[in-house]
Amino acid sequence: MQIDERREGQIIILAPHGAWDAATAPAFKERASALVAAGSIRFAIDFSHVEFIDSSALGSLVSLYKKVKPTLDGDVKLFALAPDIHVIFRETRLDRVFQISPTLEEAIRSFPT
Amino acid sequence: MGQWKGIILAAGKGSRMRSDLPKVLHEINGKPMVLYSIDVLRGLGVDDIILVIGYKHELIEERLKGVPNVRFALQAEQKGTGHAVMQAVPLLQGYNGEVFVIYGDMPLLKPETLRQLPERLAAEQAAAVLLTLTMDNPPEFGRIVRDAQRGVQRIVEVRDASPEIFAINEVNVGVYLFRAPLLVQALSLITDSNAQREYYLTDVVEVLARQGQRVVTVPVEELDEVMGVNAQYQREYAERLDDIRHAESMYQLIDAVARMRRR
Repeated sequence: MQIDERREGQIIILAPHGAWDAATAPAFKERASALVAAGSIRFAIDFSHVEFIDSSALGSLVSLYKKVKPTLDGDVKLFALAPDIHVIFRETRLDRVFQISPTLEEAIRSFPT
Repeated sequence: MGQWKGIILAAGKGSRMRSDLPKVLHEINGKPMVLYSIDVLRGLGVDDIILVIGYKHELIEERLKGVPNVRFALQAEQKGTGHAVMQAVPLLQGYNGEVFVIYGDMPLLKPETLRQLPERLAAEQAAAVLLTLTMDNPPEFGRIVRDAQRGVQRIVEVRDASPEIFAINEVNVGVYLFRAPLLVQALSLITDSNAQREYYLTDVVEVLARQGQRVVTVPVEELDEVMGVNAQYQREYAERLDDIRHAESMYQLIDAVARMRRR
C-alpha cells in the first residue's frame, strides 16, 4: 500500500492509498509503529485516497490509538472521509474515538496547541 | 455475612487531573470512578467495603451517602499504600476471612478477573494472591521478583529497582486478595526505609514470603483493564474503550458488508 507521509509541526499526516484491508493493513501498522517508536504521538490520517476499508483498517487505527493515547497523551484524528467510509465510523461509534474533520486544516486545528 | 471484605484505596489527590476534585470522584461516562471499584467488588458478593479516604474526604463521603455496604477509614497523612491499608485495620478487627485490596482509580477492572483471586488463594493454600501483568516494556509498576521455585519473593518499586530488577517484565498492578489476619500482622512489620520514605503495601509480600507463606499470582491479559486513571487524557481513554469494544464486536458484520459491496 502506498502511504504518503508529511509533517505539520508535531503532527504526522499519513495518507494511505487504495484499499485498506487485511492485505494492506500490516503495512500501515508497521509504518505507524515505527513512527511511534521514533517519538511521534499526534497523527492525522488523510482518507482522500482511501477507496475501501474493512475491519482491518479499523483495527490498525485502534491499535495506533491505544499506543499513543493512554500513556503518551497523543491522539489520532481522521479527515477527508468519503461518505460510505464515514458511515462505517458512525455505525461502529468509532467516530467518538477518532475525531473526524472534513479538511486537513480543521484536523490540525483540533489538536491542542 | 458475606464471603469477603474489600479495601479500596481512594485517598489520593490526583494532581495530574488538574482539578480540585478528589481523583476518584472524576467521572467515567457519567459515573464517579470510585463507584466502579465499589460495584466490581459488590458484584463478587463483597458486602463490607472499607474506603480509605484522605484528600477532601468530606466530598467523597457526601457523594457516597446512602451507598450501601461502604464504611470509611481516614488517612490524614499520605504516607504510602501500606500506611493507607493500616488505617483500615481497626475495621477488620476480629475478621478471619479474606480481604481484597484494590484502587479507586481503576474503573476498567472486570469482575471475572477478580473472581479468579479467591479461587487461586484456595487452590494454592496461599496467604495472598496478586494480579500481575507480563509485557514488553511494562509501565512503571513494581517488579515481581521470584525465587528459584518461581514463588513470589518480593515486589520492588521502580524507584528502588536496580537495572537487573527494572528489566523484569512481570509487574504488580495493585490488585490483591489477602488472608486478613496475615495481612494485619505483616503490615505491623513493614518500614519506610525506601527511596520515598513511605510504607509500601507491596512490602507485605516480602514479609509474608520470609515467614514461609505462599504468595501467588493471577495473570491479567490486558494493560487496559488495570490502567489507573491519573490524568484527563486517561479518563477520556477509559471512556472511549467502551466504544472500541462496541466497534470490535461489529468487525465480522462490517467485513461481511464490505465483501458484498466489493463484488
